[in-house]
Amino acid sequence: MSETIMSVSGLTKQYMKNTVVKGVDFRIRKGMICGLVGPNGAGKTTIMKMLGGLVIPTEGSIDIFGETEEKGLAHSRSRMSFMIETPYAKQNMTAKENLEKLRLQKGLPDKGRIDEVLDIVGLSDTGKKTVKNFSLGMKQRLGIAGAMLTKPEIMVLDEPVNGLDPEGIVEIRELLLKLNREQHVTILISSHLLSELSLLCTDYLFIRHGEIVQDISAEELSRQCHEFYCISTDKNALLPAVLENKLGIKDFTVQKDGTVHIYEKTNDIRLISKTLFENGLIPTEIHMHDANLEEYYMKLVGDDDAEQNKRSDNKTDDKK
Amino acid sequence: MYNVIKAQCYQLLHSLSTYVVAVLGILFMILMCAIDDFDSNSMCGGYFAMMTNEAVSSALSMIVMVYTAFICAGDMKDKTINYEVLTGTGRSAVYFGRIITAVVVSIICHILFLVVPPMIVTAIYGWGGTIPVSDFVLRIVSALFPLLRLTMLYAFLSFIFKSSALVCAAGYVLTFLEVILSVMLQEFFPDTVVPMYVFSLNAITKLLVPANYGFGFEDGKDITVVKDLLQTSTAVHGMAAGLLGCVVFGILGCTVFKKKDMG
Repeated sequence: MSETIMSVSGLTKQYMKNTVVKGVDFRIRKGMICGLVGPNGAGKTTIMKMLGGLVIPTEGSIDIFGETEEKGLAHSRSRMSFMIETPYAKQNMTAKENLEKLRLQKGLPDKGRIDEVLDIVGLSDTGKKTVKNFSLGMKQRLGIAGAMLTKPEIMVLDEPVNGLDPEGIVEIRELLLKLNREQHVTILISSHLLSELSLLCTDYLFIRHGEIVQDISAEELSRQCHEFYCISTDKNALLPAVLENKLGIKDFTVQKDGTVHIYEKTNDIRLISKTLFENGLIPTEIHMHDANLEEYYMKLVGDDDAEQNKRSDNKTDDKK
Repeated sequence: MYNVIKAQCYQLLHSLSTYVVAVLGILFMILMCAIDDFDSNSMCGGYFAMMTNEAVSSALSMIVMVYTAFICAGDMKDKTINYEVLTGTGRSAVYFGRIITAVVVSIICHILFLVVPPMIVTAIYGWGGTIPVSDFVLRIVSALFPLLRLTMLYAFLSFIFKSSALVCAAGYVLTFLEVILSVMLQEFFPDTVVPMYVFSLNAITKLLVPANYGFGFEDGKDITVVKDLLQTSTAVHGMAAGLLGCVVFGILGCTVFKKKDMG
């Protein structure tokens, strides 16, 4: 397993009586592309801001590259790049001037890197056009260009594809994948576009009400989001042995309640039922489970949205 | 911190607003000269400096306010200041980088508006006998410190309001409240020197503008002569009060910036 390069423990942020992040724990390993997924107001941006030193945690600790004290963390941040909320963009400056200012700020000696990153994000032909005349997508690209200026080891990106057209989304995705594969850049990314994250992430952190409700690998998530047979019998303890020895099924997981999830593609459900009967097991439940990422997300955090909508509906009714 | 200063200078030099404010300031100077309707017979560097200093000192405080608001609060509204912290620059370095830039810009403005014009006039008409050069230098140097105190006050307001427009509005109101208060204090307690050391604009005016003039005779011409030369002790008091104010506002600003979350 790769080394942990960033971790948080018991991270909490409280504004007056409102706790927006509640004792969050997670680890980011080298080479990961970790998706931070959750509805609006779940605390994603606040967590990223605490990692970046913009928001001071009420409680908890942050460890980046082994540094936990503020001075050390500031040094660690120089090995990272962030794009949080608003992309870096001075409205009255051109894309090149913006990156030049950022280069000076970061103390980078290589001026040529500006043209390189502008070329990568497709903004090399913007000339003297100032940022105030840029589309939202162009501003996002400029933000990503700024984040790439230093060749960082970790990138923390808050909704980086927000406002991009489909073509731009594909380009940015490919760019991030390339950075991850070729330069081993570790990425923590938040997005509402779950389908987009599923094409990118190796791990997911699902967040709701400021709490991590699930920390799951893409592999495991993929398993849970694909079709599988859910089987339960009167003697669940014997079920795995029967499946493996009598039916030769190996790709399955045993759940806490003893229920078995079979991920192997099999159309012969009759054969499974028959074999179970022959081995003295009476099936109490056999059904096909089919969930996609959106459904999985809704199951984990979606109730919150529904609840919020319901509340706002009630408020509207009250006003009426 | 050095990188923050470099980036700030780059931004100032690439911003149209920087030049607009400077040009407006120069236009104001020209307008003042036109209103004063200087007689070319009595015109000389020292006379020009003393006649324009009062109007220029008020304008200068406004110019410094605008530049400080640009430097300290301009990057807060569009949140580009966040990226300084995010790139690993410590909050103290971000704070002092901006403060130093603002202070340097204030010093440049001070020289540009209070020293350069009399120098130009001197180059044409000579310095004259209105005021000794040493007194002029003492006035200019000592008035710089209350101006820096004003700069630090505007910087402090920037870190509270996080918007250039709000800083300018609040700064304008505070500066003129300060003027009214200092006038009232002087009215009710005429012997007190407190206003000069507490209120920045009052101190700048006191240090720059002589109160008593008389007539003298030089090269066969009647000339205006400054009667109340600035006492070294008054100048030192003004400078010390200015420095103390700088330290107080500096500490307050730093505390606000370091303790507050950046949105």
